[in-house]
Amino acid sequence: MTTKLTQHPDTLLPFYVNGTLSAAQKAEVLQHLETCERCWAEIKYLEKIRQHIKELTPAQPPGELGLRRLLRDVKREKTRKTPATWWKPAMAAAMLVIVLQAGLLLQHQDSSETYAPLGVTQSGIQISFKPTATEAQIRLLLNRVNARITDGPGALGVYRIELQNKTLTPEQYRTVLAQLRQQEIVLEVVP
Amino acid sequence: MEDIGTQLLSRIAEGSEAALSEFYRANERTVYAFAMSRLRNEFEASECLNEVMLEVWKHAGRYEGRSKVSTWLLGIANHKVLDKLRQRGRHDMVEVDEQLPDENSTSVFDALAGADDAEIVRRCLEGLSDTHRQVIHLAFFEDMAYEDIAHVAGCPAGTVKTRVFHAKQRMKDCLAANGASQH
Repeated sequence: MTTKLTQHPDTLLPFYVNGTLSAAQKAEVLQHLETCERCWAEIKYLEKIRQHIKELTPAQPPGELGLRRLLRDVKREKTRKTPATWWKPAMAAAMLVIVLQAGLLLQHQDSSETYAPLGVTQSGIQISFKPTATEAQIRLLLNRVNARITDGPGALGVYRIELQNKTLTPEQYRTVLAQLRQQEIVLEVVP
Repeated sequence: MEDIGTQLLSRIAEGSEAALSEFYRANERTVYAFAMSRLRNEFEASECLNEVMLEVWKHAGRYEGRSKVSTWLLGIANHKVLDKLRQRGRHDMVEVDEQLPDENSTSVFDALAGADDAEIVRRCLEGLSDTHRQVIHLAFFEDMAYEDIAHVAGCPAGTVKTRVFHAKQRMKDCLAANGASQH
């Protein structure tokens, strides 16, 4: 049952004109219009306004140029979100410098001495791999030198490995280090 | 159409640039027309369109289907337009008098002559405040329901109805004045 509107439904008329009133609201408005010349004139006025607004020539949107710009910005956004990896080679280079400097210091020592920094076992080695190294390649290498991963990867991608053979002589230990450094997938080795 | 929009947003949320392109092509005119109706500047409207679509790219996953896709999208556009208007330093979003006008407001019969002339209508539309242009555009260009306009504008539905009422009254004043001067 519809309610007869005694007041002019001024706030509903624009939405009667654009066709979005509910069925119940529309029925109430129609019933009011049966006896209200003023609201019929209002409807005509609103229909004219709506028609003119629809016919106003809209400015041309950017089209494909705008889309290309958007996709460029999307790519920039993706690059911004992806963590930068440029620092890994830079960090590896920095580590190499440190290792070389350590090596220069060690050259003055008697090679027959066993060098073991305090708190570090002879078998503990820090190693980093190239980003392209696969898990299978790393596993193969570690099996070959009889080592296993005991820690890592850390934030810089550095692992700590431990040689399983605890009776290596210093020379044998240096040989293992050399073997590791020669591997294509290895970035850096720090004893 | 609504299902297609929802599906596209879902794919965009997964990172599909193809879906974003499709969404852009389907909604570019709506967003651009909305921005132009308020900014009146093609360059700024293009900027706004780009920012809106970039926002869609970043936050498509936030669309939960509680409103129509077009309503959600124009809600984003509304925020971007407001940002641009604030940057201009102009803020003619005058809070309208929520009271309905008295008996002395322009009669619709006086405005009908002016309403026949497209140029007069265009000039009178341009003379409206940003708040009024916003609701008139959404009601008559986009044919949105007042509840959807409320979502876009971020105000109660009753406020939308009142704003539309005031906007058409301002138009009547302008049309009556211009229509009378033509004759």
